[in-house]
Amino acid sequence: MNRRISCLAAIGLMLFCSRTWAELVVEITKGQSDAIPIAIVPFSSPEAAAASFDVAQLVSDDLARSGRFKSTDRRDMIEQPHTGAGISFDDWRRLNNDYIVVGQVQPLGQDRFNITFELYNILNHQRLLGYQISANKPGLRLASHQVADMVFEKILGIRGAFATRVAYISVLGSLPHKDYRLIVADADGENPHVVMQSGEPLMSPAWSPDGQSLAYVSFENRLPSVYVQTLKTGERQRVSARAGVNQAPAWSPDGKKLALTLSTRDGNLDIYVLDLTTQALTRITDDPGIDTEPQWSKDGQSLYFTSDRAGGPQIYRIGTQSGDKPRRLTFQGSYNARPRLSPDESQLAFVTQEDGGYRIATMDLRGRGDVQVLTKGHFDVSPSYAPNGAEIIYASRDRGRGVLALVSADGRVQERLVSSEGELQEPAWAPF
Amino acid sequence: MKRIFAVALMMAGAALLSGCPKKHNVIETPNAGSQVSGANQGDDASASGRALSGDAGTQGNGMGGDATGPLARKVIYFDFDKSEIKPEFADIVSAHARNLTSHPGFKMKLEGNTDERGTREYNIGLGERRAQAVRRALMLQGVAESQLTTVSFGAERPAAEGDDETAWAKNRRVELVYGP
Amino acid sequence: MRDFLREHRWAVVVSVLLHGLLVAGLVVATLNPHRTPPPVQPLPIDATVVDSQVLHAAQRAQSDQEAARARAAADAQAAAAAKAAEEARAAEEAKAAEQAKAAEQAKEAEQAKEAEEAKAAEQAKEAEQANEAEQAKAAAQAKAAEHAKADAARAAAAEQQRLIDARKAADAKQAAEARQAAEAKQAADAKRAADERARADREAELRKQLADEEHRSAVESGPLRDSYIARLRNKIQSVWIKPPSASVGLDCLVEVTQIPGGEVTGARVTQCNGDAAARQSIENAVYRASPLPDPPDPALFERNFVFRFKPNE
Repeated sequence: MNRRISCLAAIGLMLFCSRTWAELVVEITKGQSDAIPIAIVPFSSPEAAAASFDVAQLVSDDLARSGRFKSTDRRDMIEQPHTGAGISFDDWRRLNNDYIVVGQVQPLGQDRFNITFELYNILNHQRLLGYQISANKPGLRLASHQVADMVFEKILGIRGAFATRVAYISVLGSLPHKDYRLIVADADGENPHVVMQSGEPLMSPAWSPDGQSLAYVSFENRLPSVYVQTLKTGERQRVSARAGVNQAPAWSPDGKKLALTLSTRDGNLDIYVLDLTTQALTRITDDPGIDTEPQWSKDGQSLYFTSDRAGGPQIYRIGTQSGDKPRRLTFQGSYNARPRLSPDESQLAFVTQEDGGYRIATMDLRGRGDVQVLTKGHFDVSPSYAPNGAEIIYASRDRGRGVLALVSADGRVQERLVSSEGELQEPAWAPF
Repeated sequence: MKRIFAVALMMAGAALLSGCPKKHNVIETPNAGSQVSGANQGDDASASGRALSGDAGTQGNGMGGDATGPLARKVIYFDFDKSEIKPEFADIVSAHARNLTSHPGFKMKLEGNTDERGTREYNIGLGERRAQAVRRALMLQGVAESQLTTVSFGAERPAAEGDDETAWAKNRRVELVYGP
Repeated sequence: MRDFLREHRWAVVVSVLLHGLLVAGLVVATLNPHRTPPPVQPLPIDATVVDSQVLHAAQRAQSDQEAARARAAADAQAAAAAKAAEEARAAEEAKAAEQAKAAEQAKEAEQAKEAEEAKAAEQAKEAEQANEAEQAKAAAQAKAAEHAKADAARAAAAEQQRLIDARKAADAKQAAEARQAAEAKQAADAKRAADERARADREAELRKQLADEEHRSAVESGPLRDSYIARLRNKIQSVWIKPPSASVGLDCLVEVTQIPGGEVTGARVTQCNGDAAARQSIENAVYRASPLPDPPDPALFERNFVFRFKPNE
């Protein structure tokens, strides 16, 4: 009986104490745009040095290039575990790492390898990922990009786009004999392949939705024509060589049509839709101004385009059904051109003129149409979204040379791409 | 077959849209050139005379033997974001117009160009606009439509490299190229 | 001796077993320390302390109640366990005493048997000296008598066994009844305890309201508290790496547990409308901020509090 009373008294006392504690809620309204510190520990690899491929280095470079991660320098790694069991979490925490990736590359016999890796959260010791990928020697690069994709997606909740490709135009030589090349490379700039070469200008590469073909403009007959080239076979098809202008091909989302810019005899540029199967041509705009640079909406029912019918170039949207009137979208500034739609249609990227320079800007399509200028250069043009919508690749000029650069869709991060020789322009990011 | 039909339709449509007056102009000018019509007679005669003398050493491609005359100059330059032909280039236009009208067999390609600023595809449009301005000017002076074609290279074939006004000024141009 | 053992086999076995059990029971009882019920320690408060302006008031009251209930149940269980242990021991001891008695009785029976057998042997010897025929007869008689006695002894042993069994059954019944009674008692006690605690709760409520006001005026409305909150906020904001998905519209709560010195021992994301990346970044931010800054006044230290992540950009 005594014991019971003392129990109750203790409980009563405890309740009494808990309720006298102050009620404390701290509101957090800001954060940092810092890169997340992550350690990609060199993977263990077989002794035969020729077979080993530095998976960790590629993953580390990919994540760092996205601007959202800060990869720990190898010289600062106090230990190099290859499995979760070997990680001394407190040590890594003390060196301010939030995440760690460990792994191994093991030979699987004749020219085949197994990449095993794990991702851990150092702060709560939680294992987030554990995967095994097998690849042959030439496929190790792609497999490493896929590792980077998985780590990226696990931590940021956005699908990674490291294992994708980009197309761009490279111009070599000097006037009057220039060499124009259409190149397809990995998203990190490595592995460039020349897909088409010409002594006359090449322009406007555009990926088909299935990533198998490229449409582009070629002046190879000293007249512009639109070609569609199948990458695997190299087979080319000339799809539009009408008198006058044939420019700015844009694939419909179902891959069956191309929106194009054609001109009348009097040089009036307008937008048309060409059905690739039936060759039927439908006129979309009919205006004395320059109407060009068409882009499809995801449902294939509308086209975004540039038009200077109001004086200077601005961005408009029109339905592909006949009789639809175009609606103007940009009202800030006197030059807004080359619209590109983000993959989820939440945003429109375009080129805007500001302070005498040309910059990449985005317009929020879901809210009030807020415009944000993302870059600060003088010649930032030709934006193209990554298929995950997180980044935009564009063409810029650096000390008189044409280069390719990246900016995150929210403008927080800017990166320069490894540039190969020549003037680089008009990048187009392939779909997934 | 279908394509030719479509193109013909387009051209007919374009012709309709471009307005009748121009058509009349096209019809009128050869008349003006060939008929003796009062006040203009003297001018025409002297003009054609000049053209003829200028063409004395002409080759099939229309190159004038006069190396310093307006016929030797085949590039017209433009101001930024403009497609109007400045007065200082009027004589080039006239010279070539006369050359073409007196050689109905001659053909000329008008190649429009811009400087590198702005987006590439829109620049194609601007280059075309400049080429068209020269085309109209020539047609106004009697050149037959069939003798002229326009092509725009936009910013793709600069005449001068550089990220400054000196280079840009040299790139904003229409080149008059004789040949089929 | 060996004859004796052979003839009274079962009795011997039973007596050995009973002796063994008795000894074992005594040994075990002495080796086990007297188990005391665990002392009722003040448990670290698991209840969330939240500002009444926030929607957590109801949740907190509920969790307090649950904690109190859990504590009550734990105490009741401990008391019941102790009681049951006592009862069981008492039953064991009674059983052991009974078994000892039965064993003694069996021993006495055996001793009686021995005396009788000695006597029988003597009588047989005297009968032999008298007459051969009588010896035979006497031997036969003696043998018969022995048999009869053996039977009697066996019967007696059986009787003893039956008695022991009967007693065992009686003990078992008693133990079961005792257990039932104990359980019934426990239920009644628990209910009584709960009622008493409810009363104590209500008293505590009133007491708390009074003490609250006192405490509040002493520390809470002061600039020191504001400064502490600001320190916490700045620390978190300087280490929270916001993923792209954590934008305006995110509203997430994290319950944080810290020990004096600021080291974070627990961070739990509760109500949150963000995706996995946002939640992970929030949890990480709390750990990255560890150790949290000290309050300017030690009285302001809170073991448990809440961060509310609500970005405005």
